[in-house]
Amino acid sequence: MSEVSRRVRPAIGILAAAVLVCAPFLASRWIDLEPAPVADTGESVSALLPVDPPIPRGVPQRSPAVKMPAYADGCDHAYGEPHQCVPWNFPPDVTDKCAYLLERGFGRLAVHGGDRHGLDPDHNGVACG
Amino acid sequence: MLPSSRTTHGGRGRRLWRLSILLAGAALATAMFPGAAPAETAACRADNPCPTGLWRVLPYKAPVRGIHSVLLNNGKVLLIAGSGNDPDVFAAGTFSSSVYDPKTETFTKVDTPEDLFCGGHTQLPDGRILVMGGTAAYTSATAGYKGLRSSYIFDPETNRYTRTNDMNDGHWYPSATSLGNGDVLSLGGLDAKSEGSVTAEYFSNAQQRWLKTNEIQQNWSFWGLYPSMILLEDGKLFYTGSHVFGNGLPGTGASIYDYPTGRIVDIPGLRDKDHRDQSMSVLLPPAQDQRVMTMGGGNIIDNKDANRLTDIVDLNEPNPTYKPGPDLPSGHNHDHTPQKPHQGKMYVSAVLLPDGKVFETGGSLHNRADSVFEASIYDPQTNRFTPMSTDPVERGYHSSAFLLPDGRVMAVGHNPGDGSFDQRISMFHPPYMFAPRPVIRKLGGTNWGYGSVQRAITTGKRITKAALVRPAAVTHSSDPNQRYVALDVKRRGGGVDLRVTDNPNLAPPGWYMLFVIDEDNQPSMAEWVKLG
Repeated sequence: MSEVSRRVRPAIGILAAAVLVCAPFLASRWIDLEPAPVADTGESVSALLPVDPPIPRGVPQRSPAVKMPAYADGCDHAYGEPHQCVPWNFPPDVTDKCAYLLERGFGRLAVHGGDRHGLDPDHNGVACG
Repeated sequence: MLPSSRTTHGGRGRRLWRLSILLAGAALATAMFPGAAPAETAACRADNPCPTGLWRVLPYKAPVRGIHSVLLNNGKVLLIAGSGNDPDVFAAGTFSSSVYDPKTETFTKVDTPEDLFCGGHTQLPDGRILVMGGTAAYTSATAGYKGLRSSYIFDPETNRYTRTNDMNDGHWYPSATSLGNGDVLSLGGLDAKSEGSVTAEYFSNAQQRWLKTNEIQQNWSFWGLYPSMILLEDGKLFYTGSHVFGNGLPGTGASIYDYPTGRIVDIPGLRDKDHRDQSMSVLLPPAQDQRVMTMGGGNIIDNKDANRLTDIVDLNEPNPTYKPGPDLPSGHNHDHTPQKPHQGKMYVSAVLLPDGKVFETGGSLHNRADSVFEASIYDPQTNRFTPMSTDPVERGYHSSAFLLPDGRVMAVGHNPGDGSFDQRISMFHPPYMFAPRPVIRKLGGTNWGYGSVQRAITTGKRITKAALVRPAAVTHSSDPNQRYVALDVKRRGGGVDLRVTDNPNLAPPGWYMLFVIDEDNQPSMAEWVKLG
């Protein structure tokens, strides 16, 4: 092997390695799909991406996260402690909501804000009390 | 191994007393009925075979709230509580897990670095447990739960969690499906802002890291909370319609998700798809049949009575459609009154048994209230449920049941609306535990390759079937990786040759429980083998 090729071949190898290492970053510089940057605005995140982004084949543009209510766990957390679950809706045949709760181990419940179920008629901040 | 001072014994005195009483008969009984506890074996014999099985409530409680249960490849059970749905514990930052050894009846405390409560989990091919997401914030009257981006790997050899890189999004109630190449796909849940996450997360087993969003095929769909995503033999995922909280997804409520292309095709036929909240779905045995059953469910928002429906879909059909299965048997309510004809249950636990049947247990009629006492075994061959004895302990929200290597079913958890938590443990002894069972005496090896033939020496009656059962990783009525993979059996000499599937999508790489089943459909106890 000549002196020239001994010097050139490592350089070519380094160049090739650099291209290989950098290629994914070069290819992906157009799209940074980290968690939705402006989902709070209600604006479609996809509208903020560069025009014609190189999204992988068959993949649609990003949708914003789906808004979920605070009662997604089925509990009205305006009542009681966070680990308790006064149901967002009582079973349809329940007529006495406080009796239902009492029979299921609940005691007096602090009311934090709204009283959707009307469990605090004297408005003293304590439900079923 | 952690210091022995961190291991606690439950009810040792009572056990010693009982053992001393039963000592003489126990050895003989254990030899005849391997896996059955001495007391139960004595109670259920040939003259009283306990055809509906037997429950035993252990005389001690789990030291942690077992909201997440993962069977490890050493036969022990990882119980993850995290904050355990206790906001005071969350505020204090004192999170917990414990490893329970069903053989020695001991617990080993596990340092738990973050609130893994409401995360997802599955076994990696090497037997370690990948845990993803969890609770970043509790709910309030105006804001919902928020999901963690963190992820950890639990090592059964050291009982320690090690942090991986973070996921791209927060996930509270994410799914976790092990794929045929050993990678893991996680979908859904609530993100760090308490919104429904549309980010698919992909853990590369080869790289031991979560991939970045721009390395992953995304279709930016919201899959709901703990969506039940079952891997099919062609590598696609089946969203069964079983989920947690509220209505089902738009459309038919069930679909096939071709992850590599992002294509989603609805599957019709799931009845009452908006009342499948905390139903449970299982890939019916054997996995080769590609049939999925979804049973029960309700809706925590409208809080109507949970249903008895079961629906079954054959995914081998050209145009798969859910078709009605037999109703769940009626049970009784907490006050011992019988259920009304339309009433069923949510918070269902469904467990694949080593004899190829499905045990279902636990549940409640309403949102975190009104426990239902009903249990049964479903036979996929006859399409019938046979009622079983019921767990004496209520098992509603945050309860789980899962198979142990000896054939028992362990049940944990119950977290009703008043905020209490029942930490008792129940053990169900299925009827097969009270008749002679075959025994695996010797295996040619425990590292099994796809498409290989493995030799097993057994004693007992003639072996007619064998199966690999994937260990449980269950929470919230969701364990989409649960599967029972039949092995081709050929009797030769004093043993059997077992041919393993050559399709990793049918049995993703990892540790499995090997059971052999005799001509009376009696299953052995399990031996652990590593596939792939």
